[in-house]
Amino acid sequence: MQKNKFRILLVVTFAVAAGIIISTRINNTISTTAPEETTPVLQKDVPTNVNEPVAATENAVVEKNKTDVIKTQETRPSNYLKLFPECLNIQVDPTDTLKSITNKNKWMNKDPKNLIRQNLVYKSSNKELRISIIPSENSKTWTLQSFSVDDEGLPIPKNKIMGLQYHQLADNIKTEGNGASLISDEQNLLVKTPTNSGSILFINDQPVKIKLFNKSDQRLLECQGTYCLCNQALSS
Amino acid sequence: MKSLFIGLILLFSVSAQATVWDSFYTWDQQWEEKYSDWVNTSWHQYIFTDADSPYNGIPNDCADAGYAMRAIFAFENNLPFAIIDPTRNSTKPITNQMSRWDKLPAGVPRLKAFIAYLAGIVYTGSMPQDSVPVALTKEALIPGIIFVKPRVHSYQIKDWSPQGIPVTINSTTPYSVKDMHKYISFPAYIPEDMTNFSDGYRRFKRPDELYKMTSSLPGFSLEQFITSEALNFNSVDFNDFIIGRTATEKETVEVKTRRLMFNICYSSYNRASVINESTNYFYKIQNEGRSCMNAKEFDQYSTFSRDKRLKEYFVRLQQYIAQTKNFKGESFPLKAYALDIFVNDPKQYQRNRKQFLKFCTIPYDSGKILDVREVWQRLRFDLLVQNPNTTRDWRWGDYTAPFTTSCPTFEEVH
Repeated sequence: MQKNKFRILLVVTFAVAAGIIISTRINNTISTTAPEETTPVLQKDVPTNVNEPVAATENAVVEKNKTDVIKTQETRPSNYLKLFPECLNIQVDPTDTLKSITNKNKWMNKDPKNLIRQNLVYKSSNKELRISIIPSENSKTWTLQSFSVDDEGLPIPKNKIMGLQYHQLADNIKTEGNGASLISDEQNLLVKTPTNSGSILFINDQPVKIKLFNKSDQRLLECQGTYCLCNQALSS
Repeated sequence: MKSLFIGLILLFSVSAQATVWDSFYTWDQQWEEKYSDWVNTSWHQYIFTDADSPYNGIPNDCADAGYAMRAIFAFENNLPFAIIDPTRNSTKPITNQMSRWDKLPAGVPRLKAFIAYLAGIVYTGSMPQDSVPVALTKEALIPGIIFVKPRVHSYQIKDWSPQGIPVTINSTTPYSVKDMHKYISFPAYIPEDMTNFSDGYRRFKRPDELYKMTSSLPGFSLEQFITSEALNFNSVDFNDFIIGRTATEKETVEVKTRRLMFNICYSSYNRASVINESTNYFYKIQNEGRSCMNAKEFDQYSTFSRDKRLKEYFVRLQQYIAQTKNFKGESFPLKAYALDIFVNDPKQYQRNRKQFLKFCTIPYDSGKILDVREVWQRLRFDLLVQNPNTTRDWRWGDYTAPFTTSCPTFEEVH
C-alpha cells in the first residue's frame, strides 16, 4: 500500500513537472519575426578575380576579397513604388527596385563618412566570426570589436580596439578576420540632403532597411522586409 | 519504480538547463505601468553599491545602467528581456533565454553574469534600435523611459517633479562598480538628430516589438525632434516646452535657481572624483613604465563629454538669469550667489570667497579648493583639460599656458 502511494506520488509529481516545463516553454516563446519579413538569403558567387583587394575608399571601410562576393536576394516591399513618390516626392519607375532607387539618387549612395555601424560576418571551419566597426561621434576615430558566435548564434565579445584612424581599419580587419571568408557585409549609413534625411541598412550592397524623412512635408517613410510605412510626423 | 525515479531526475535536470531567468509572463500595458512604478520607487543611484542591494557589485557605464534597469525589473517579475543583437542583422535577439551561464547558480549570479555580458555588447549607439522615441506628453514622459544621445551618454528617467522637471539617474565612465548620479534636472542634451531621430526621450521596445518597424509601434512620435528644431535647438526653450506640458505646479524662481545651482555644484564635485581616479591611474601606468594611456583608457578617463555637460549647466543658469533680467523683483538667499557666478571680477572673489565656499566647495588637489565661480572662469576660458594624460593641476586649469602632450588623443565612444 505504501509502495503504491509512493508510486502514485511520483507519477503525479512527474506529470506536474512536465506540465510546468511545457507551459514555461510556451510562455518563453518570443515572437522574433515581424509580419511579412524575410531574411536575406546569401549565396556565394562564382569566383572571378582572386585576391584582388578593393581600395578602402571605393567601398566604404571594407577591403573586400572578391572571391567572397556575396549575393543578397532583393526584397521588394509590396508598396514601395507607391509610397516613394507619395510619401517623399521621390519619383520612381515601375521597374525600379530598392537598389536601383538608391543607385539613382546619389544622396542615398554609400559614403564611409556617414557610417553608423558596419558588421562584417565571416565563416571559417563552420565557425562564425563577426567584426563590428563603430565610428566615434564625430567620425574621427573608429572602434573595431570582434565576436565569436556560440551554439545559440549569439555573440561572444573577443577583442575591442579603440581609437583607430580610418587608414588603420583595413589592416586591423584583416588581422581579426584571420583568413576567414566574408559572408555578409552590413553597413548602416546616414543619408542626407537639404530636403530628405535618414538611414539605410545595406546588406551586401542591397538596401534592406530604409528610413527616410522628408523635411518639408514632415513625412517619414520606413521600408523593411516586404512593406513600407509612411508616417506624418505630427499627426495628432 | 527505479525507472520512474530516474525519469523524474532527468526531467528536472532538463528543466534546470536553462535560462538566465524564467519568464512566465508577457509584457503588456499593465506590466509597463508596473515597470514605471518600480523605476520610480525602487531604481536608485546606489543600486549597484548598497550593501543591502542584491545587485551590489555590478560594474556599470552609461548605457549598461539603462539596459540593467530594464533587465532587473524583468528578472524580478519573471518577464522576458530581449534586445536586438547589434553585431549582426538577424532576427535572433539577445534574451534571458540564453543558457551560457547554466553552470552558475540560478538567480542573481546568472543575472549579474548576463548584465556583465550585455555591457560588452551594448552601448549608447545600440539604444536607438531597442527603443521608440516618444511624444512630449505627460502620458509618455514617465519613469522608466530613457534619454539617449548615441555614442555620447544616456540617462534613466526615475521621476517627474510636479514642476515638470525630470529626476534622472545616470552612470558614467569608467566602467566600474560605483554609485550612479541622481539629478533633479533635464539631461544636458536635447533631441537634435534630425537625420535619423536616434536620440532623445525613448521607451524600451517590448520583445515582440523588436523586429517591427519602429514607426509602426505604439507611442512612436517625432514630436520632440520637430519641436527642438522649431526652437532652434535651444535647450532652455526646449526644456521649458516640456515643463509647459508636464508641470502641475509652477516652479518658483528661487526653487529653479536652487536646482540649477545644485546641478552645477554636484557636477563640479563629481568631476573632482573622476579626475582623482584618472590621475591615480595615470600615475599607476607611469610607474609601470608607460607614459601614455591607450585608446580604451583614454576613453574611460577623458572628460570631453562630461565637461561639455558641466558647461551646459552653467550656461542654463546664465540664460535663466538673462531671461529673468537678473531675477528682477525677486528676493531669495541664493540670488546674490547665482549672479556672482558670472561676474568677471577676481578681486570680488576674494572678498566673499568664504561665503561662496559655504555654498559649494570643490576640493580638487592636495590642499586646493575651488568655488563654482572659479570653475566657470576656467571653463569659459577653456583652461580645464579633458585629456587624461596629465595631472590634477592641469586637469583643473591651474595654468593658463596651453596644455600640450606627446600622447595620442582619441575620441570618446560610449
